[in-house]
Amino acid sequence: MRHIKLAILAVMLLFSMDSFLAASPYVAGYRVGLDGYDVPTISTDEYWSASLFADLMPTSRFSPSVHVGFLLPPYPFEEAAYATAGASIPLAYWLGHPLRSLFRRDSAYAPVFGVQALFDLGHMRLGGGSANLQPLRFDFGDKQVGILSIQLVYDTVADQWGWGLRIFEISHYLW
Amino acid sequence: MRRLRCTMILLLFISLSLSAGHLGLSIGTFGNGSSGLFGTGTQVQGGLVFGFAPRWETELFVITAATADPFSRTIGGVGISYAVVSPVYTQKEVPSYGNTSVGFGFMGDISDLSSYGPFLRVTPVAVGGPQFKLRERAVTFGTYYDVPNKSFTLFWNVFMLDFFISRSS
Repeated sequence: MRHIKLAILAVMLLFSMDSFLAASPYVAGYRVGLDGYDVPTISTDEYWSASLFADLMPTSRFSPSVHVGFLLPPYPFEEAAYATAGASIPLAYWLGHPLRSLFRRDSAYAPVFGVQALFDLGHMRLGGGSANLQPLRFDFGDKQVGILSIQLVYDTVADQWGWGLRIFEISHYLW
Repeated sequence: MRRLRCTMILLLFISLSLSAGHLGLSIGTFGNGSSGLFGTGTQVQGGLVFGFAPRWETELFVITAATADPFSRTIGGVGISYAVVSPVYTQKEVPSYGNTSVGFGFMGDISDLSSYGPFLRVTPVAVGGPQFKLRERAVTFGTYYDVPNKSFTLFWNVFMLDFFISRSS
């Protein structure tokens, strides 16, 4: 009898932990994207962006987010790779947006503004910084998709301004 | 040259005449080998997708340079794809959520036809479909034969989204 009571207690404890986890908001995940630049010391080849991100206020729709990762060229031994670190914040969160009928899942229009630092891993120096605006970004709860975001880039090596595009970006929450 | 233009117009006409099935808008990335259609930089691809048989669809598309010199070159094309795993355009059964497709087509430089030719392509991962409103195509890759320059080029669409906006039934 005692064993049965213990087993029931253990199962109840597991269920209570499960409901606790289910009620928790997503906090962090991974992000991938495809970038192109018109900046003096950054190659004009396409770049792959891969990073880990975390929300600082996970329960808020306007949570600031921080990320660290890499900006990788398609031909690793020909072009410079960069380490990246940055932060971003949603500018709006619109559930009734006009494009919602295009998506099977519930979605929200959630444009984002962010800043990012680029560290040149080939020369071990600061390569530049950028301000990014994602005007076409949609939030699906556990996933966010953005296309054609604009980047204003300051090249610290050439001391010049340039620009870039993030052709697409997918953020996927894991935790 | 005139015959080529007529052929392209004819292919476009055939594609449009097949639009009795599902209609979708597609947008995505395009990349190619450094000696290919665009050289360096990034490109975007947009177009229309029509399903005209359970496993067959045709696609009209335009590819243009995004960075570093936007719209410096624009490629147009038409392609036909076959869904390998299961029918995509069906009213009688729930189609497979994941699929694979193979296809072929023709594309060329719209402005001066300095480059044109046939292509073959494979899409190993296509998730979604008309019944799901949206489809994500990933890691499409193919090869293009440039007829005037007598050269082969590898190309790829890392990610494409198809938004299905109408159905035939």
